[in-house]
This record gives sequence, C-alpha cells and structure tokens, in this order.
Amino acid sequence: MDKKRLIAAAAAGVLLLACGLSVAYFTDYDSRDNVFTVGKVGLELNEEHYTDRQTARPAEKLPKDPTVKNTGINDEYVFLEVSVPKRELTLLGDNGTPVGAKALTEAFDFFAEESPQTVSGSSFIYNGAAAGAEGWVFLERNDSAGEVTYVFGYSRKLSAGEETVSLFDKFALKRFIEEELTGGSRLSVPVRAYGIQADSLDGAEGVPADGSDPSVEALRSIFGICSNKKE
Amino acid sequence: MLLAVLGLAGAVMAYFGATDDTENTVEIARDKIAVSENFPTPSDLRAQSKNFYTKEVGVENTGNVDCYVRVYVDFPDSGTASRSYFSIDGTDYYSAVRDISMTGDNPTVSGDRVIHTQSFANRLRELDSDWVFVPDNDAREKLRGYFYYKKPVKPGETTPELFKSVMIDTGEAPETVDLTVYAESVDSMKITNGEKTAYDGYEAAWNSFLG
Repeated sequence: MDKKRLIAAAAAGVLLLACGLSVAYFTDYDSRDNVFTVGKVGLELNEEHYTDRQTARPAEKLPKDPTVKNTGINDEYVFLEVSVPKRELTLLGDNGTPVGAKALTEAFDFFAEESPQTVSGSSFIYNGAAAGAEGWVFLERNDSAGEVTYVFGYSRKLSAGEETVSLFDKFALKRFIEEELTGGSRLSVPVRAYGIQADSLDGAEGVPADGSDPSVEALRSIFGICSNKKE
Repeated sequence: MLLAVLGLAGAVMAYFGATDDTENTVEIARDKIAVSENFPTPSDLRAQSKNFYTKEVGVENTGNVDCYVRVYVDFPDSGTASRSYFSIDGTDYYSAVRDISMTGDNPTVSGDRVIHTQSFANRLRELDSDWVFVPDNDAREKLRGYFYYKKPVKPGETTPELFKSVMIDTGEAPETVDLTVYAESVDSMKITNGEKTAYDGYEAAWNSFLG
C-alpha cells in the first residue's frame, strides 16, 4: 500500500468511527399505555329517616324509607329484598276488637306515600312504577315458617350516582292482643339490596338491548342471577 | 389452544354485582310497672296504741315507654281506715279516710309526730302534690277510688313516694290489718291514624284506657 492509499484508508476509518459514534444516538421507540378501566358495580342501601332500635307501638307508623344508590361506575339494575317476621297474633281492628282468630301472620304493615301500590293478597304497600314514572316493581313473595320475604326490582337501570325512590316510607307494628308479643322483645326487618351490571347480561332473558326499561319478566330473570351470586 | 383459554375465562368470569343490607331492629313497646316499696317487717300491733310503721310506696316504670300510673290504697274496712293515717314526711300524719272533703284539722301531738284529722287525700290537694286522689263520689266515674300521679313516668324512673309511713291507732284487741296497695299504668302516648302524640294529661290517658 502506498502512502496515499494508507492516508485515504485511515481517513475513511476515522469517518466511519465518527459515524458510528453519531449513529448511537439515532434511536427510536414507540409505546401505548393501553389503559383499561375495570368495571365497578357498587351500591349503597340508604334509609335516611330510619332510626334503629326504636320502640314500636302497635299501629304507630315509624319512618323507614329504603333507597338504593349506584356508587359504582357502571349502569346497574338494583333490587331490594325485605324480610317480614311472622308471629302468632290475634289482630285487632281500629276499635280494639279482634278481626280474626289467632294465626301465624306478618307482624308489620308497610306504607308508601308517593305512588302507593299494594302487593296482591298482602298489606305491603310500596312505591310502584306507574306509567311514565319510575318506581319499584314487585317480583316475588316467598312465605316460609318464620318470615315472608318480598323482592322488588327497580323499573329502570341506574347510572352512576343515581338513586332510586324509596321502596316504602313507613312501617308499623300490627295491632294485636297485648303480650302476644312480649313487650321489650326485639324484632328485625332486614332489608337487603342487590345490584348487577346492566350491560352484557347475556344470562338474563328479555333484557332490552336498546336500553329501554326492562319488563317484569326480565327483572325476575336478572334477579335470578343475583340470587345465584348470593348463594 | 387460544380458544380453549378464552372459553375457560368465559366460564370463570362472573357478572359484576354488589350487595348491601341492614338489620333494622325495633323493640316492642312495653308498658310495665312495679310497686316500689320499702316496708321493713312490721312489729305486732300493740293494743291501745298508735303503731307507726315505715311503708314507702312509689311506682317504678320497668317498661320502655313513658307511662301514667295510679295506685289503689285501702284498708279492709272503713273502721280501720278511720283509725289509720298516712304521712308524707314521717312527722305529720293525715287521716286515711277516703274523703277529699275532710278539710277540718284538729292536730294532736304524739311524741315527735303530729296526728291530723284532715284527710290525707285533702292534704295532697292542699299541697298541690303531683299525687292526687279521685274520691269514690267524684263526677269522673271511671277514675274513682285511685291515687293518680299527674306526670308521665319515664322508663327506669320511680315516682316520688305516695306516702312514707303509716300509723294505725288500735283499740283493745287489735287484729291483723291488711293494707292493700295496687298499681296500674297506661301508656302516655296515643296513636291516631298512625301518628304518635302525647295524651293531654293523666285524665285523658286514663279515660281513653278505661273507655
């Protein structure tokens, strides 16, 4: 190699080295955050005017107004289940005289003020859904030895932050012969709220795909899923 | 393989759901009382003597609602009553005769005690006591014959004593004397159309209860 070629080769090597050093900074990258929002169905059972462990006199209407609020981020269908204790009672009329023989009967009556509807064959009055107005839809009544359980579904799905109207507004111990229920004893009227996602309810029958209000049958089917979840 | 995994995921995936519940307990109203009495075992009656006994009679509300109370107090016969006296303070004794018109008083001293001919029932009225007697001839027929405590008694509270001691003035051959003390109560609240309101005083409560 003559001297000229040697110089040319050395110059090329320096140039290549310089390029190599510069190329090291010509990098690139790409990425996506791909954030997924996890669905959340949450609810809150509220009884704004109810005071627990208050004294109940026969026929005295005590405030009790269960509502359900959607505290999640998804639309949801909600349900309320109320268990009414049964006792052996001789019920009395307004004048204090018996209206029938002593029998195993529900110990409480329920009263609604906004849109009262009565469960057929019962004294349970609730705020029912009327034409064009939201409210509760009676779904089922389960009579067992110690209690009667009523189930209601809300007439439409609730969006996040929305709250139902009250299922009922007051309840009262029935009139009965004194001491058939021991004074000072306690009775419980448990209320349970259930909520379930309103979208993609493939397992439920009759759920309207267009977002319109569900039928009674659809609500029963949806509550069936809730029932399975609780068991 | 991918389909199998997705199928498994579908089977495991549940619907999003939530529940909440409340127990909601109520306590059944209980209108219940007990005679609260301090009555030390009495000594035998002595003949021709004024026999003094401690007998503190009040009424305790053992229920869970405010109530009005009334007390029936009587001796087995009017003769015994005419020789018996009640005292509110252990010093002044007033005739146990059930006559609210016995206003005249001719007190006599017996040791450190004073015996009055004025009736105990009349004395209560004179003091404007919270206890009041409705005599057997009162126009309020249903209320007759009882001592009434005018104020509602709260759960766990006891009325002031109707009286604290008794004196029985005996003759020649004293026999056993029975003093009947019987108490009743009625809820101080009424329920009208589902709403709870207080009765307008003890008379209204008892009249309603007695029909």
